[in-house]
Amino acid sequence: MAVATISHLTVRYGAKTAIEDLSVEVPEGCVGLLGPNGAGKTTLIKTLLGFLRPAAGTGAVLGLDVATQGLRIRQRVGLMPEVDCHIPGMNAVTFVGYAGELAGMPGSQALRRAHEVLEYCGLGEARYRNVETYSTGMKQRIKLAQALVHGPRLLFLDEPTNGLDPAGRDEMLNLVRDLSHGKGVNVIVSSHLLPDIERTCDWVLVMRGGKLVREGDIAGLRVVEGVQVDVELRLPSEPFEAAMRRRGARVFRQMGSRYRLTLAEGGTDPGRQLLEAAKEAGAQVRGFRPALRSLEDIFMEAVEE
Amino acid sequence: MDFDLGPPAARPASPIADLSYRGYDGPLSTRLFRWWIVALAGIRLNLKKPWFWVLAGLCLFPYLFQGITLLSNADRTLQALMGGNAPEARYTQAFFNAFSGQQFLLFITALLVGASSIAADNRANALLVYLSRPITKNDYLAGKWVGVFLPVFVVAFFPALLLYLFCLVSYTSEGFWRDDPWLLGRIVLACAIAGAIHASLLLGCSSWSKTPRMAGAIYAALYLVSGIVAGIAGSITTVFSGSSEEAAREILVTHLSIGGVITGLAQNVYHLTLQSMRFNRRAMQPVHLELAPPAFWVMLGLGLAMVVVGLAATRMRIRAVEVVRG
Repeated sequence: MAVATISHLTVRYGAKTAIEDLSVEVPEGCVGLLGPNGAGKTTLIKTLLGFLRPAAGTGAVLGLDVATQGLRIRQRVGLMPEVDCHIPGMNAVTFVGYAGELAGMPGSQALRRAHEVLEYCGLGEARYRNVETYSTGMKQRIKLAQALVHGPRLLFLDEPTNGLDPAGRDEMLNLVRDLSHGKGVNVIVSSHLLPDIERTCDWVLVMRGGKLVREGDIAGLRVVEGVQVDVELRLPSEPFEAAMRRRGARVFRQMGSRYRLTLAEGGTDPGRQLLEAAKEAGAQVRGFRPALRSLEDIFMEAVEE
Repeated sequence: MDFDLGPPAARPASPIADLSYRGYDGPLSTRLFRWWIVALAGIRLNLKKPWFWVLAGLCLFPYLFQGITLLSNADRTLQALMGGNAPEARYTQAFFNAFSGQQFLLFITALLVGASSIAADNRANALLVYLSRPITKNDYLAGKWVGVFLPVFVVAFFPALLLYLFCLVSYTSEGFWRDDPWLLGRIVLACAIAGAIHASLLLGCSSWSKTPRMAGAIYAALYLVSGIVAGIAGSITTVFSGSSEEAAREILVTHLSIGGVITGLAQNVYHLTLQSMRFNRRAMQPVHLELAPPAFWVMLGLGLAMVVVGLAATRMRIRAVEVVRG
């Protein structure tokens, strides 16, 4: 089931078209939203939150029309913005509880839930501290907590690891992963950090110039066409390269002693071929696996097409 | 007796201690009065400020002074010296005098309560939190406005209510109730006018500022400079000769400021003609004057304009969320 359905959506700012004839179904789970500057990601999320009225087409989030049911959509989704944001003068519990009340929760439940969510986000010990005294990492967590407090079915995370040190980034990505894969919350992550998307998301949408240029599950997109194998030798070996070429393979040396081999389709078993070639060249194979493209490769291909 | 010397059995986890994350499936209501949540949060934050209580306490003093004056009958002596007010207006005049005396303190209270209202939100990007919830721009605006209006109104009204109750207990037999049965309504209205004008203009200043200090400085400058300019303009445009037209014009010009509009409207609300002594510079002798309220429609128009301009300026600055940079 799709959490968001967009059909021939066009959004304009005056004469400028920000999104043009976009049709996509955002599936459940964790979805990455990628695109260069000006691709239309901002506009798409604004439209999905009900802030902008489409010039043409339709959109629905959790079955609610984005053009007419903005308030009800915002009650069911959570937003973790990119920039630091909090309500001045409040401690974490009051702030998160207040965010829950703004979403329509009864006061007592919002307060109870604020404690739970802060504990989950790792701020249990600091919950009575004024948010203004928080470190960057804690401010990222409190933004996540305020987005989660009302139990949204869909969460928009905008650059969730901004400004975090490696350990903090790791913990934040674990939280996002746990939310989407362990707690059943649908998540849309907008990030410029492709490794973050690669680590947390199952599905990716790549936008360029207001249009969707690539979508699909990351595992599927990473599979390369044809028979390609990545091989790592103990030491670089020219005889091994020559032996593989004699077997009709194209050989690309990547880095150090790593090679990507493109083998002829329908030939003998790739593993057997490369082990025979290694034996022939006297090279020691450390490992090999079917070649996969990185998300960066997918992204660059999509935006350069 | 048998003792259990084995290891203690593991206790089942208490559901109270279980703070792990679960989905929320409780009620979520789209309230009609969503703005009240915003207003209540603003009021709670203001009540935590010690200076708010200090100012609220100071605002009691003008009414306390009027109470003592009534109690000692000193008001009648003063009235006799001034040429004598209508005796039935002595209570109304006491309330108006206290209200006028309270104005500067109310202005300071409004600064304390309202300057940070939206400016602090701007600095902390709090609009992202508000507008990503089922809250409209109008809900936010109404909430913030009530969050400033109510504390200012209560600080103005509470001392007046105490004096009113004192008069009701002490002077009903002397005609307190009979002389002006609508006095309580007039008090409420006058305090509401002060609260509404301060709240609207302060929100306007606050919404266009990134820091509460800047918002406060702008509003303080507007309030004080407009008062000084109106006072100077009133005195230099009028060479007083004792005519009632000239007096009316002077009164109107001196009320063309934020504080002047508040007291001018309040004088209209209290329906009070004040007694005053002036020095006639041409005849070089003191003159007894009856100061009628400044022109009602001009004051009302200015008051409404202040409220509308303040709210419109605020609304212009409340923008939907910038969600993603990219």
